Amino acid sequence: MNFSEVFKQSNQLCRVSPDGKYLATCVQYRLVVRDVSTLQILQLYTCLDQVAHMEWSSDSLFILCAMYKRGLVQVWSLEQPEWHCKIDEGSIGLVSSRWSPDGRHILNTTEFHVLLVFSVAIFPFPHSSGLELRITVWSLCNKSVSYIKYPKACQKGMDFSADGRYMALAERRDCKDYVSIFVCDDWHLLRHFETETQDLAGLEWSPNGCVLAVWDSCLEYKMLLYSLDGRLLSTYSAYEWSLGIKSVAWSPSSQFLAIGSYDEKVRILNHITWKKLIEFEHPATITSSKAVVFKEVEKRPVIGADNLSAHQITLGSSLFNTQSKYEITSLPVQVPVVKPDLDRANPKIGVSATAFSADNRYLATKNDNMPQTLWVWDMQRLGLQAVLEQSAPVRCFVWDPRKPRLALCTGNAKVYLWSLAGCVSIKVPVEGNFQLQSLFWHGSGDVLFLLGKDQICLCYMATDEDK
Amino acid sequence: YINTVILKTFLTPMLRSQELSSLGLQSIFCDLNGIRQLDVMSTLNSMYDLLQLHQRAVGAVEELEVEQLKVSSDLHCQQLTSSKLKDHLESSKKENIRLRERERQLETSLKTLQSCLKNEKEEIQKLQSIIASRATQYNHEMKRKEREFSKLKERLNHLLTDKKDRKQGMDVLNYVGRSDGRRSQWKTGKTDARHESEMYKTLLNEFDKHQKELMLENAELKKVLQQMKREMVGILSPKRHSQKEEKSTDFTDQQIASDDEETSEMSCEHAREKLTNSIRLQWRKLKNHVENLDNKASMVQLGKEDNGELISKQVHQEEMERLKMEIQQCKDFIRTQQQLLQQQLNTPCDEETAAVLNDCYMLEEKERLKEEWKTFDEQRKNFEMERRSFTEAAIRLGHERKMFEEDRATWLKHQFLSMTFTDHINIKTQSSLSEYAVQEKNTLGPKTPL
Repeated sequence: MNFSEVFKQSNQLCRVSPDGKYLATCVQYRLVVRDVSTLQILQLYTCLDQVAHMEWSSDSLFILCAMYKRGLVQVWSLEQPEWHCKIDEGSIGLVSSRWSPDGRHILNTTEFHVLLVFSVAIFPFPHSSGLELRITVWSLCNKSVSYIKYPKACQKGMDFSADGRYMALAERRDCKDYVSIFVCDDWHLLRHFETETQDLAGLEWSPNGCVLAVWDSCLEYKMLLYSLDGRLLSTYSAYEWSLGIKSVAWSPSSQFLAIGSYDEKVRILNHITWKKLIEFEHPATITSSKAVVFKEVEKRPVIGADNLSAHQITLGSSLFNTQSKYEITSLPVQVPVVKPDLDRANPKIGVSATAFSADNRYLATKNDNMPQTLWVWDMQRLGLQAVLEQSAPVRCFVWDPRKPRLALCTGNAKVYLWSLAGCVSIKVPVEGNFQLQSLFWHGSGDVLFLLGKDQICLCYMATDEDK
Repeated sequence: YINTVILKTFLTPMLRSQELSSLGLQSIFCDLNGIRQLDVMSTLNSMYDLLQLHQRAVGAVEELEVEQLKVSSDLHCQQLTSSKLKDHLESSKKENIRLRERERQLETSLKTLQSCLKNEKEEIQKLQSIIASRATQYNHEMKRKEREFSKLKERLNHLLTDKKDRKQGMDVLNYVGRSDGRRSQWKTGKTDARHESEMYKTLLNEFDKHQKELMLENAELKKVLQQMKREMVGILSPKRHSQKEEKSTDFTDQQIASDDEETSEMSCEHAREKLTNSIRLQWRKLKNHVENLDNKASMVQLGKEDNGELISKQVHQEEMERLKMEIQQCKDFIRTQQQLLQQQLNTPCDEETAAVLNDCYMLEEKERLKEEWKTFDEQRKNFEMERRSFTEAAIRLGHERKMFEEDRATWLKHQFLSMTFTDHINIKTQSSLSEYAVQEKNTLGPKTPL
């Protein structure tokens, strides 16, 4: 395992091109494009303001830089550095900007920039701007502009199918939720139908592009499954009254739909009957199970008072770097629970993150009131495979896009890897205080990108499996 | 005489013949000449009788006393038991009262709990209805606020778009071609229809794929079931003679055999039901059989029944595992063989290349043969040459021998003619010569036949 040197980045804006060859990072106003293998700077662009969102086009030829405060979107070309494109949303303001799957259209969701100041006083919507009025589709191929009205401001109101042919958009009109399905080729409206939700919170295509999962806000547990042609296939509701769905994940083969909810359980629906296949619980005490429990044990170096000399302290941050390794603890195991404050909204309880491995075999979940624990389930056996107990709350976890290997970070300078062979903690050899905020894999599964607060470091994986 | 006077004066008031006669005794007085005189005999008799009577009376009194004692002790006992029973009765009554009291208390507590439960249920229902009503209220409020909000958004949008200071617009150097290189098409009814058809095609493809997978799975499962059924029948059939249901199993086995052929291709519900029912039947039989075996095995362990035919479950299981592994290995082997065979059959793609290939293989052999011929020829040539030289040598030797014989003959002639004083020497030389001649003959000998 090799680590590269550290580069600067801001806002966690680091993206790898879809073809896997280039790495684009934003440093304040600048956009730096490097080669992934050599890390040499290939292109350098300067934007007009601090970049809020950066995205590669699907063919890896263009990069979109959105500056929400200024309401501007700038598009850069990798092949022709002198090509420029600037989209100004005017005084209407900009909430989000993204590419369409064909890499030639940009969808901007606008808001009222001026009103935001007032709106805080009149309509307090702290978690999202909530002021989306319309989506403008700008075409880079011709002068056409399309408008889509009444997009819904929710957790996930827009999703493209995996093959990039269809877009599903959540809309709200006259206090009713609708879903529109567009053909991305020419933005033709294919289907438009009302959904039986109280307040649609999100929608997601299945990986095979034939089923659309639509779910209600957490005030009501309701999952609706629609076919591509707009027919309602099935409705699933596990219980009433209590807070409902918190996270949703499709399995890569479209066989399973995992629904994580506020009652600390994950329910798996199967794609044949759309009924519950099994529900996974996250109990505070793990007793009889075939699972392996890995506990991170930290070893702080012990220093006697006589050894504290200036020489030693300057030798390094080694004093403050704690070693850690994993120990396998025997069952029964008590999982540390953090009791949430149930009086406040959005309580930190329930399964907030679910992710399937690329081979469909494993599911990783995180229960918010057990923030230091990560659970890995075996989908073939439909049982618990492993439990990882960390020394700090888990911040981010991602599956390797090729192998069944999980990488996670907890905000310290270590990256943790789990695979069937075992669990390992690796210290990132970076000087100073490097706190890992998030990480993501390269498409080939050979490189792991580690993002700190304002730094990025690459980790090149060894070809043979780690212990 | 005085005695009789005393007796008379004392006894007369006491002893009256009336009393005696009332006791059944003779009168003790007899009349002698008109005077009442005491009859001693009868008095003695009467005295004896009186003593008897007295004895009897004493005996009776004793008995009566004994009786009386018994009765009084009985009475005492009875009194004791009666007092005990009274106490017992008292305590039972108290117990009864206590239990009744307790029962009453429990009933009251049960009533209170039931009423509590009812209250709780009512409260839950009330709360649920409150939640429902609040939910509808909130929804209504949300909708109202949403409508207000969207109205305000519309108004604001109007106001802002009327302002001319900053317009929405895009500034681009030049337009970029589509990623797939094609031109974009006009939007017509045909494109709409095309989109619809493409969408349905996608859906249909997905359904087809799904159905194929399910059919494959189904076929696999059916095969497995058939196999299981056959195996179960096979396992159960040798034990038929020991079971009573001989006739019925015979019949069902025949039926099963005929069923196998029928149901292999049918997919209708009737066939499915038949298959599953027959599997269930066989499985039940097998289960019973295994249970019997288990019982027998456990008895064997206890040492009650020693049946040499039965083997322990452990050994049986191990045997099964081993056999399964063998089967798996054989299957794998067959599969690899099949693959290799397939490969072999696949590689000669057309006849020409096959012929060429064949030639290639033969070429090597041909070359090798040529080489061998060459060496063989050379060797033959060498042999020929050698033979020729040897024959020449033999001829030469023959000549030489002839000459030598001639020389010898002349030399002998010489000797014979000049035999003077050197007889002794001549004989010696002759013998040595003859030896030499013999030696030469011997050395010459083996050389000639070639």
